[in-house]
Amino acid sequence: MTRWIYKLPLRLRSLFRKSRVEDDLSDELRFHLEKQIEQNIASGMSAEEARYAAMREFGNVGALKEECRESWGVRIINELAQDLRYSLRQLRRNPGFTMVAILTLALGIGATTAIFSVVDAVLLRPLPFSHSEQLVSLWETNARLKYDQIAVTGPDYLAWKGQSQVFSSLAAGAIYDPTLTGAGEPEHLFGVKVTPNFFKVLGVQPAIGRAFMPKEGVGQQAHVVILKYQLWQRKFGGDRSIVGKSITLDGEKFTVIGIMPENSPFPQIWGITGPYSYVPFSTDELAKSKAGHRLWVIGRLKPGVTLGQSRAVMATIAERLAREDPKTNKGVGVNVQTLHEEVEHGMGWPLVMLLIAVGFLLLIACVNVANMLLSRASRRRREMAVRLAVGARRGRILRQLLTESALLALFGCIPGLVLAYYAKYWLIFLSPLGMIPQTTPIDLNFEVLAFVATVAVATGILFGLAPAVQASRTNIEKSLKEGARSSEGAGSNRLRKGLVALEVALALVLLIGTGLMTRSMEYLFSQRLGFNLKDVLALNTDLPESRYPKGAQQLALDRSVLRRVEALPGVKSAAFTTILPMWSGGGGAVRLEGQPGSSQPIRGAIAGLVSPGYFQTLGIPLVRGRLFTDADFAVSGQIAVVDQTFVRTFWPNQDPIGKRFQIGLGPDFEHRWYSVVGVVGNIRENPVSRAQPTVYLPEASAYGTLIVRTAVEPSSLIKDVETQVWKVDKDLPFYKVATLEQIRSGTLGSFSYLSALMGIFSLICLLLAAVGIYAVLAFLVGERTHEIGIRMALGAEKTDVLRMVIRQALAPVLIGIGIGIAAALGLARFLSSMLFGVKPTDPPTYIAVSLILVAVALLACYVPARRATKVDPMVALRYE
Amino acid sequence: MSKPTDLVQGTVDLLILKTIALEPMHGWGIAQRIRQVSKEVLQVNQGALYPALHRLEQNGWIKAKWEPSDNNRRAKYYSLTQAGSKYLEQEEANWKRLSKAIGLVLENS
Repeated sequence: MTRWIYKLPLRLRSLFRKSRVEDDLSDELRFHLEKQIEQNIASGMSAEEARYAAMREFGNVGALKEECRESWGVRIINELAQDLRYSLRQLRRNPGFTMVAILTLALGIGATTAIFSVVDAVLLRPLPFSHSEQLVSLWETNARLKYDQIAVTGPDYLAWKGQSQVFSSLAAGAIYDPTLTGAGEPEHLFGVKVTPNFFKVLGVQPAIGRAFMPKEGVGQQAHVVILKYQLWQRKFGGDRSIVGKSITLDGEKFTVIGIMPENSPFPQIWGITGPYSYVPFSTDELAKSKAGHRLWVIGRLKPGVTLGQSRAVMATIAERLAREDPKTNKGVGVNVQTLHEEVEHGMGWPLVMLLIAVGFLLLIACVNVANMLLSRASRRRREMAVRLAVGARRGRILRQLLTESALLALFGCIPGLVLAYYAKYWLIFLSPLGMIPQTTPIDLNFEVLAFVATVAVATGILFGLAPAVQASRTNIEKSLKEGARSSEGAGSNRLRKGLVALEVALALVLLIGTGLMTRSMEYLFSQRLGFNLKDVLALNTDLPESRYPKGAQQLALDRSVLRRVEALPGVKSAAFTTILPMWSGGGGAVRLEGQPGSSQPIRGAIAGLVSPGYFQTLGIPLVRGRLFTDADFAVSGQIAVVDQTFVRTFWPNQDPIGKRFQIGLGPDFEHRWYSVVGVVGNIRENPVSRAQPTVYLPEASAYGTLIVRTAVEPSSLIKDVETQVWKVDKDLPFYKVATLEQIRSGTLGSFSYLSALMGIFSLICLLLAAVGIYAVLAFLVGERTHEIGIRMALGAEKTDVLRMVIRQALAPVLIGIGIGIAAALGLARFLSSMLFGVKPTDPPTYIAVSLILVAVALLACYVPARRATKVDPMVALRYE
Repeated sequence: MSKPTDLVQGTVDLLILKTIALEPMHGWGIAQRIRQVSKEVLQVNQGALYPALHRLEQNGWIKAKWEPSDNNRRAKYYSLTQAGSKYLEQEEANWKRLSKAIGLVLENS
């Protein structure tokens, strides 16, 4: 160990004082030589003889020095430095090649990095809250109706909070979009109402001011508010003194008690990101609505409690609640999942798929660059041969060529990262709102950069290895001979064709994936849901129980609102409803008249309270009997309209008109018998679910959605409708306003976006593959010019030459297609969860894609093939 | 059994180390001394000498200093390090054991 005192300074000297060390070595050997000469003279030789004898005996000074240098242990570092300098020089000498290679690589690396940054933020990294693995979200479930993510009711939340021991804290929230007035223009804020412990659960605090205090959640609602940083900057000029002052929300004064930090994270649930305002929920408000499912619930597990344990505990609590209150809670369960999973909301698999797709893109880019390197290598054959001839080891040449490839890859990273930055920005910007969870900010952070570096080195080796090995195997003799124009042998050509086949296969797999997704999209968009989506506006509202305690008041309100809204120009019809496809649901167990109760299995139906204009507004056709009239619209009715699925399920092959049933919608509906007066067409939630039996009752409800069919663009009438409603009751809140088409794009939007992205990648891959095929073919034809000349001189026709060239081109392409199809058949299985209405082995897609690739290949062949036919035999024969 | 080259290399190392154990010397001097002491039998030429010297130096067994030599030119004088003299003891012992063993085999088989 003490030896290192001597070893280290020596090593450092060899590295940094190289010229000095070299001089010392020369001096030392010269000293020896002179001593030898002296001795020779002393033994009788003349000065000249002495010198020659000594030098002869000394031998090869260069080799001796080299051996000494070996022992210095810094050979590798020196060689590496040498390789780097040489490689840089080589790359600079061929700027065109270098540029194209770097740009191709930049494309592959950039795209891959962009996608990976999203994958990293969404799937790999934990949420940006302290101990985020303890955070969970809770939903109610209904086994009968097969829903497992139902919003929670206030009383249920309070019950869970009180009874469960596994959570250190449970918080609830709901959307609350107040209108801010009195500070410049009135602004509709996208905010939330949360229980005061919300901040404690997440572990976030306002940057200025304070969070809610527990007492602010008790009793009446406390009129305090916390604002988003950006809102504070924009509306209040970043003035700290706003804290403590009051602002006007929905006409009432709220005191600002805090401002959130600038980039404070918010778990993306229901697409809410970064609320503009936070107001506290009061227990009074929560305890009231038994039927109102509108809360999301998040919680923090106690340390040491597992997800499974919490699920078991909650299941017990749910059962207890069901026993205590069967009217509202029968069959209601609890679903607990990690907050990370909640925020991810199913984006996992699609993102991985995108990553794989972009990986293909990178591979194809690598193959192209490898081909380019191969072509260049064949031009550098002479250089390699000379180097080998003067004594370079093959390993050394291999290392130097790999250094060149690694340099190309690393240089490719720089524009690649720039591309990744912008690509990532556009990727997120153009995505449907809420599709890409951004709770964890997506940026090019350390892990992403490490990933890029790894990818770069890997691709460098990947595309560099084959050409480098090829070059280091150069046959010295053949290459140094004059006129060595014939190829290095079948080996390198086979490699080139192999690469072409690989490219084609990769492009094929990607194209097939895209093709299948496109067909799925076609299917989804063409599906008829049973109602007319176009030009319908939907606004959610809640009638506060304080002002509308009884059905009669609710009915009166509904009637006035509908009358006013329908009188608006541009409105065709309007209705109130508690159920709306893709939006809200509800339902209960059905009991038919004449059925002994207990022995029958419980079957349920979706049930909604609707005003008579419902069917007209949604465009649902009447099949039998009649629809509701205004007179039927009552506080509690005795008639109902059902849909065809209901008839098929409960009274198959019978005439349902006049038949009676009961439906378990709550305590008020306990003893009512409904008699069927009409049958309407089926409607479906979304293109992939089946129609459920549905019941429509002509009654008013304390909550629900106002739907309006318009003759003009629905969004243009939002303000007018709201104004009319407020004329009846100025304090009616609206939340979640949208057109039906927007809602549908929301559900299908993710899918379209993914398909679009896949489409873009496929196109780029196709382009790259085409360029690659062209390049290889141009080279091969160039190689065979001599041979073509001979053939033509011997009588071959232009068409023969053409046929020969095209056959050469198509061979690897067809092999590639074969491999690609086999791979696609194997991999398509994994895609089946994302395909609708089309099998993963859908023949038309496979055939179409194959034909496209053949066409592209032929196109790429065109120029080289024509050039081949234009070969002048005399010219070709003259040059070798 | 070590390879023949290892054997030769180890032997040259041993000779060098033993030679400079007595007093610091430059490469030429070491070669001359070994020739003299072995009565012209062992002639280490520079092709073996200098690589060995440099290797020993890199491994920290010997250290070097540039001094003016007898003809007023400067030469690189090598001497043993502490670790080097321990190494010399070790290798000397090994050598003695080895040659005794070889002798036994040659006599008795």
